[in-house]
Order: sequence, then structure tokens, then C-alpha cells
Amino acid sequence: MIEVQDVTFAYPGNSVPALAGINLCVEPGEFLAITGRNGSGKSTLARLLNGLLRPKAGRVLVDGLDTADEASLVDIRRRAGIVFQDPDNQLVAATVEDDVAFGPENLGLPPAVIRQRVAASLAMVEIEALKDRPPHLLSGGQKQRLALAGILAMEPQYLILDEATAMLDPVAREEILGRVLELRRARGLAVILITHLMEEAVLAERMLVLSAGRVVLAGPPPAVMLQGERLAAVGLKVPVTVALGHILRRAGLQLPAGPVTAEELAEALWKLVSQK
Amino acid sequence: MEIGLTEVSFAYQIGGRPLPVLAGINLHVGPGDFLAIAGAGGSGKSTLAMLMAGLLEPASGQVTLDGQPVRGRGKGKNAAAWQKVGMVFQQPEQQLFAETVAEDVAFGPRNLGLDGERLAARVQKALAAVGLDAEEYGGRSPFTLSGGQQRRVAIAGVLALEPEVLVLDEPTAGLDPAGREQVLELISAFYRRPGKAVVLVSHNMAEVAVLARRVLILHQGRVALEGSPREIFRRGEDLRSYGLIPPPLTRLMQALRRRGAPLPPDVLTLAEARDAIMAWIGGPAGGY
Repeated sequence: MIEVQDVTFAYPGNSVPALAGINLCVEPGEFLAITGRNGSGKSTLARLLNGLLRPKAGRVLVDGLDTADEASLVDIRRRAGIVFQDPDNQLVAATVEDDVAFGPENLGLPPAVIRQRVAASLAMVEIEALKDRPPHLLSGGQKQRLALAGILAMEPQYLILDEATAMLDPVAREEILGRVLELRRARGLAVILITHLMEEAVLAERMLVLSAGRVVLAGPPPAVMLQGERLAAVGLKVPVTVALGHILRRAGLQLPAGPVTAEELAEALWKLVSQK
Repeated sequence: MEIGLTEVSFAYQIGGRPLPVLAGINLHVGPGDFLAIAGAGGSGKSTLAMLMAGLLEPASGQVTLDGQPVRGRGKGKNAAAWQKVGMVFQQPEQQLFAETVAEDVAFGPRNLGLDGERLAARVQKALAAVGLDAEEYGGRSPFTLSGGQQRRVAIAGVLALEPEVLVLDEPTAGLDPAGREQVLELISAFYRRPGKAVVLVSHNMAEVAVLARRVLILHQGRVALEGSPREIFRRGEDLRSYGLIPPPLTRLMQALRRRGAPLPPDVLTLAEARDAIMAWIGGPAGGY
């Protein structure tokens, strides 16, 4: 479990805290989406979850280990891995394969285990064919796949994706998220998805909306989607299918408020017609 | 300004071996055009955008500006012609460098020889075009701005060169919904001015649906499909083989059509979707 207790954080030289009074619990195996506009504190929260940043007040515990405790940081980052939007800062080696091996090598694992993990991670994100390429010659989307492979090779318990698929095409984004969610089912990996794509956030079990460093909405996506006006007030928009649902209800259709995706709305509309 | 590509191909050299990226590309963009380029990751979209902006030269084939064959930017004697083509790279805010917003935007036009009042006016106009007040933002460090504002400053730096064709590579990637809308709005405003053209590389099909006049889909370095947004999105799930997912409203219509509903396959806007659904449900058999 990751526990965020009354956390406040401010960047040096900035009197306005980037986060204030944050309380949050991430259960093992959970799928949580964190959303909010640019500058709302999402990425800061992501970096606090695995000790890349330390709270100014309050505590962050990862499976009971305090991120303020320097001696626990290696263990914490093995448990909670983070993939960023801009992977250039995360790529270190001369070839794709070596880059993925970097993390497991630092864990001191036997070479055979490292080879197996590297192969499995490259296959998971489908870049085996690129294994001998230098990372700087990859496309933006390929770099994001590589950064994810590097973290997966560490076999974390908590995977934090900070806009980690923003450069991928839509089908690839869906595939990669699908793979990650398969891992979640198979290994109980917790997934913390940081995104401002509402279409993506609504796939989670629970979502958290941040604005100006505070949690302003939280709950299962269908419940959060009912708060269209509050979302708009914090610079977010409900998915267009949710907006269409509102419009159709206002036009007089007896449509329930639950449907979020295009497929769900189609099903609800079809049911409505069949009942007539 | 008209950009033409004839039988253009391009390959990167990796370890002494060519890695083909584009082949057999023919296209034309002229005043009044709004061309979207879409396709899967690695299909050659960004490379095509850079060829169209003269930042790469084709391995074979020809690039023309107003019908004249040209070499790349900075090569040969066509500097003045390429000035009319502005390129906004992916995540352009990473290239902001100056101490103030105004200085950053002034960098390009100053290199063109502008100074004093004329330069200041150019900067002010470019910042206004991206929705930033020069009084309020001009003296600030770009690094104190939000991600969306930084991106708009970077785009202002390109607009300050007063291009006729604006080529943008994923200009809204990574922005929040509000930032995304501001960037799309400034692109539309640019396009509405007479004689301008836009080339937009994007895999956001909802964006392409409402903005583009013409869509070109690349697949493994070749043009796989070309047409109006309606013609393209009518293909529905076929687009997946090109790494693309139709916009949500098109997907909704297609999901209902699969169940047998008599709805159009190419709905693009909320108003169209509402009218189509109300006409279907509230139609002859309806009681709503």
C-alpha cells in the first residue's frame, strides 16, 4: 500500500505550495487515475509517491517504508516505478537492450535473470526488433515504450505512468495500456495513471481530480463524470460521449447517467430504443 | 506559397545501412489548404513534415516552392522562399532559451534583420496571435509559465516570422484540455487569414475531424488513404490498421449501426450527433 498522509510540498523559492493537504491510499493491485490541468500538481504527486521528491510536511509510506528515510529509497524505487512523459531524461545506455538491463543490473540480479527480464520487458512493449538501436534514434513513441520496458524490468508492485503514452498513436496507446492492465490482473500490479485525457482516466476504478495542489473530486469515474460543471471550473472537460449523454437527456431522452465510453453510450441508447 | 512534393522518398542511415522512411510521396499544399497528416508511430509523419518545411532533403524526388525546384533550408539560394514556411516541432517549448518571453519571440525576426519599433511590433503581434498579452507576459521568464503557455510562446516565435504555410507536428500533445483548445484556436485563427495554409501532424482524430479539410494517412512510409475527414472516418474500424481510432462520436454511430440503427456513418460534431440520434429515436415510431 502507498499511503500519502497530510502531504504538503513546495518547490524551492516558491511560496505557493504545489500540493497541500493531500491524503491518499493506493491499494496493491488498484487502478487509479489522477487527473487535473497542467500545473495542478499531478506530476509533483507522482514524484512524491516513490520518493523522487520528499514532502515538506506529512509522510509518504510505500509498503510501510517512509520516503523521508534515505536508507529506504532503493527499496522504495524497486517497489514503485515511474515512467515520464519525456523519456529522454530516463534513457541512459548506448543500445535499447542495455538501457532496459540497466535497472536490473543495479539490483545485483544474476545475469540469467537479467537476460530473461530484459527479453520479457522488450516483448511486452513490442520493441524486440529495436534492441540493438541507439535510443536517441528512436521516435518519441518508441522512446516511451523503451522507458516503460526499463521500469517493467524492475518488476515493481506499483507502476506510476505520468503522461507516459502521450507520444504514442491511439492504437499503440490502447495496446500498451492493455498490456499493463494484463500485468495488473496476472501479478497484482497497482497502476497509477496520470493523464489529462479524460477518455483514458475514465477506464480506471477510481479517479482523483487535482486543482491548484488540492484534491477537488474523487470517486469512481461515472460519479465524477456527473460533475461536469466542477470539472469545467478546474479546466477539464468530460469526454464528448458524456457531453452527448447530457445533451440527449436535456432534449428529453430517458437515458441513464452512467455511460461513459462510446460503446457504453451505444448500448444504453440501443436499450432505450428496444424498450419502446 | 505552394509546396509540392513529387515522388519523394527518404531514408535515415543507421550503422551505414539505409532505413527507408518514406517512398513515392506526391502532394501539394497551397493557399486555403488545411491538410492533416496522420498515421501510426513510425509511419513517417514527422519526417514528411520536416521535408515539407525544408528541414530535410529527399533522397530522391523533388520538392518545389511555387513550382520552383528547391533544395533544403539553408542550402542553395532559396532562403527567402523557405521563410514563408514556418515549422512548429514536437514539444517546441523545450527549445525556449531566452530570459524573457519577448526576447524568445524576437529571436527569429531579429535574425531576419528587423529591429527597433518594427521588431517590437512584430513580437507584440505574434504574442497577441497566441492569446498572450505582450504587456503582461513579454517581460516574464518563459520558465515561470505553464506548459500550455510555454508552448504558445514557442508557436509565437514561429508566427513572428510571418509564414504563409504553418507546419505543426503534434502541437497539442501533452497539453491539458484548456491548453489544447487554446492552441487549436490559434491555429484556426491563423488559417482564417487570407492566403494561409496549415499542415497539421496529429493522431488526435477528434482534432482532425473538426479542423482539417483534407486528411492524408501514412502507412509504412507511403500514402495509404487521402480524402476529406468524412470520407476517412466513414471507414471506421479499418483505421485501426493505420494506428488510428475514429473520433468518439463516429465510433458511437458505428456501434449503433452495427446493432442495426439507421444512422449516418460520418458524424463529426456534437450537434450532428444529437440531431441524428433525435431523428432516429424521435422519428416516425417515436414517442419522445
